[in-house]
Amino acid sequence: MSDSFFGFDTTLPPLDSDQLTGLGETIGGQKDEIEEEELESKFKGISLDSGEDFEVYDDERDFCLDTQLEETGDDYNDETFGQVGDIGQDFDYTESTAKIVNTIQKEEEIYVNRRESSNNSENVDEPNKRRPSYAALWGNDSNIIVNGHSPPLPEPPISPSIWGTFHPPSNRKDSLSLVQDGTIPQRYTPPQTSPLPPGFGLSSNRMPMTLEEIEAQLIKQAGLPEKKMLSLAEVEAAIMGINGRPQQLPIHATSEAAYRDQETIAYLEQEALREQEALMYRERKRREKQRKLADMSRYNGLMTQSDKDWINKIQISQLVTDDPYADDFYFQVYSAIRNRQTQPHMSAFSPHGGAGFMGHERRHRSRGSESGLLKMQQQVLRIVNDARRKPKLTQLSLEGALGKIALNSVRNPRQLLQVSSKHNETHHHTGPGSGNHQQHQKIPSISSHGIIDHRKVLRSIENVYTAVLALEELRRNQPPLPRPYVDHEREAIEKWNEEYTELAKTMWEELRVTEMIGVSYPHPFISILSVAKGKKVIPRVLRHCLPDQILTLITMLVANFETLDVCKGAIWGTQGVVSPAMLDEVELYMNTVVPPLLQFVAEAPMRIVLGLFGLFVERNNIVWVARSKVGLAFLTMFLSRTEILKQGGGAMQGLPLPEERELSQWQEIYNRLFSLLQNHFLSLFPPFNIGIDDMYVWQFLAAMAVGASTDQQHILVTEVRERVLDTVIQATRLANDKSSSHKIANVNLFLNALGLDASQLKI
Amino acid sequence: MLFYSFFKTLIGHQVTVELKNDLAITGILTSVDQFLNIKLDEIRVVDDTKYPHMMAVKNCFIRGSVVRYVQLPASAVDTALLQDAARREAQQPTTAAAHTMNR
Repeated sequence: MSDSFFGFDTTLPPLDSDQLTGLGETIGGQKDEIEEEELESKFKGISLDSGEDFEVYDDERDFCLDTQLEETGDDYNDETFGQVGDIGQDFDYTESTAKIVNTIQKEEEIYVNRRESSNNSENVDEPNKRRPSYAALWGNDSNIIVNGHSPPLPEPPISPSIWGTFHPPSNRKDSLSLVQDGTIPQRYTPPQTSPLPPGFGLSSNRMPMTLEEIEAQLIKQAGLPEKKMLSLAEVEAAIMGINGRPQQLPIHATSEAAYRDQETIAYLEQEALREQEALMYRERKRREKQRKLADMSRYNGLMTQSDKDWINKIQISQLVTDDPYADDFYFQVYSAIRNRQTQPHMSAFSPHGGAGFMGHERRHRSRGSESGLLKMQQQVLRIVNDARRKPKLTQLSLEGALGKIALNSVRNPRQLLQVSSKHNETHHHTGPGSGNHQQHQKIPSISSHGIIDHRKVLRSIENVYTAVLALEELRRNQPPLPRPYVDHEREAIEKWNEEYTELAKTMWEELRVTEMIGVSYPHPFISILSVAKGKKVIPRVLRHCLPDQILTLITMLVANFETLDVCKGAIWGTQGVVSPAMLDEVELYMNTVVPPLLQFVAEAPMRIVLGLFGLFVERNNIVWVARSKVGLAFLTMFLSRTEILKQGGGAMQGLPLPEERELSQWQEIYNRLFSLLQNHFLSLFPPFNIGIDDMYVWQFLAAMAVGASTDQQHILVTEVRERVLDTVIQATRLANDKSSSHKIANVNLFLNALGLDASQLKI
Repeated sequence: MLFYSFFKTLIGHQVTVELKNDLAITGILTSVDQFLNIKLDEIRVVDDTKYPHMMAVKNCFIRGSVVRYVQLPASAVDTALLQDAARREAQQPTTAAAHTMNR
């Protein structure tokens, strides 16, 4: 072997192509231009000498260079490279190699990849197979380096056994430096772990090894079979289970130094392994996610925009309506009420306000663009118009088909329950009201022949509700006040007025307030009021009533007061017990029926109030009625209103002071009431200590006391004295309690009317 | 349509949906459609020890046909209005037509 590093001297025996390639590749990674050029020229010469196929180079090489090389290179070769026994140290390979560490790493990666996919031993054993491609690559590479100073990433064909071919030169003495260089890029590679190869039982981690050690080993073990080393790398790669990481270690793991550090190494290994595992886990996750995304994106763009619109249309057309109050009543009214509560200035009922369902939908998913909304709106409008043009069929009969096909929809669902309406009709006919069936359709008579049918009462109440609902809807859709000289607006309001009057008349008839008294017992109107939903409808009915209708209603109520369920059923006797259900009814009555009537009475003139008051006292068993809460409430109402009017309180409503005749009439009624209730005042109270608030009684007593003469006041105080004392004693016993002050306040209602106070009482 | 209309007003309220498989889910109603399919958010299964696999589920879509009961917040229901709505529903011309058809 020659001393010369390059060993290209003609004097030397020609190297075989394998060695050549190895050298070429090593040098190919460097950037020293001059040397490169010279080297290339050398190669050319040698190639020619050794009969190397020159065409390989021809493809990719510059022709200018070729010709140049012919002349310049050979003449001084001997002088330049002839006696170069010590030249090894002059080439600073370390520096230049460090510059291309990245490239080398990448080469390594690609190499490992390739090796995994192919048979490894084949690569090593038959490197000659790849030679032409090496040569081609080498030429290509060097060319680019010469021109652009940037070593590009080698293409896949190069990669196999870059390091594999590295080692044959290491048999030579001079190759030491080469090996040294070779180790450097490997130092830069990311965390190198080298698990124990099964054969050696120790790690080949180089960290604890010095360069000198390696060198020494290299010299000593230069002859280590290449194959063994590569298989080691292969095993490592297999254990790590990774690809793309350089695993090739030109290390000869049998060194004694490595044995010493085995434990540390093992620990480091584990650490690195864990790190690697975490890395792999993340990588797996990422890949999984990507795979999922890719999986989903397979269906991207499957539907066009018009497809989506079509589907939307199908969905929306089921929901869209031209009359939201008919199909979406609950939602519309509910949200109107809620809106009115939150923002009182908002007009709650705008006729045909909002686009019904879609109006709502839009509010809830208003993330589309403005134009999208507009488009949607137009579409909805179109659907509504379509629906209006062709009303939905509920059934379809095809020619030649037997029977009919039912077309079910959201609004016309398939009926699971088939109730025969015929049966209902026959039932009606056999019922007690069969004689008046014709009348039943229009104004069902609850009390024909004096018999009250509860079912008919309920029917009647429902009819009232129907009318009320229709009236309320009409109110919502009330046309604006007509401007002068706009005929169609005037016509519209006239038409509206007509409808409204007609409906109000129907409702009034359904209430049957005007039916003769005494024909039936109880009076039909009272029967309506005896049902909870009948009570509830009263405030809504009164909104659509004219004042004289309200007066008729209240007159009828007062005249038949003792037949009211809340009156006759909620009377406290000495041992009387009122059921909780009845107490609820009373509460409902006080909350629904009384307030609108109270409002009416509170605005009525003296004449009307006196008329009602007188009727109330005349027509009812006062001692009886006054023991009910509602009866007492009515009495209190009349008393307080007349008292206010007596004192000129009617001036606010533009009412004159009551005339002399009215005052004497009042006195007459009052005296009659007082004489009726005398000796019964104490019985007005509900039983003591059963937890009923007796405030309404104290209110009534106060109202009585205000209008009473001195004698009458004396009688009053004497009669209820016991109750006053009991209440005050109980209140003092319950000191610091909330109910205590309430009880005192109740008593004071009465005592203050007499000019007294509970605190004056000596107990 | 009454129930659809009704449930729309409960959007944003907390309801408990009892399914026919005895699972009861409490959550905030986010959406409902005409089939009474229900979307719930921030859900919690009532008996979560029995259905631990539902712990991680934060929202859900429930097909209307598998619902047995829906527990409503009483404060969010206007019963008087609901009665009126039922009356109006009974007056619907389509319903009346169906009624006639069945005679």
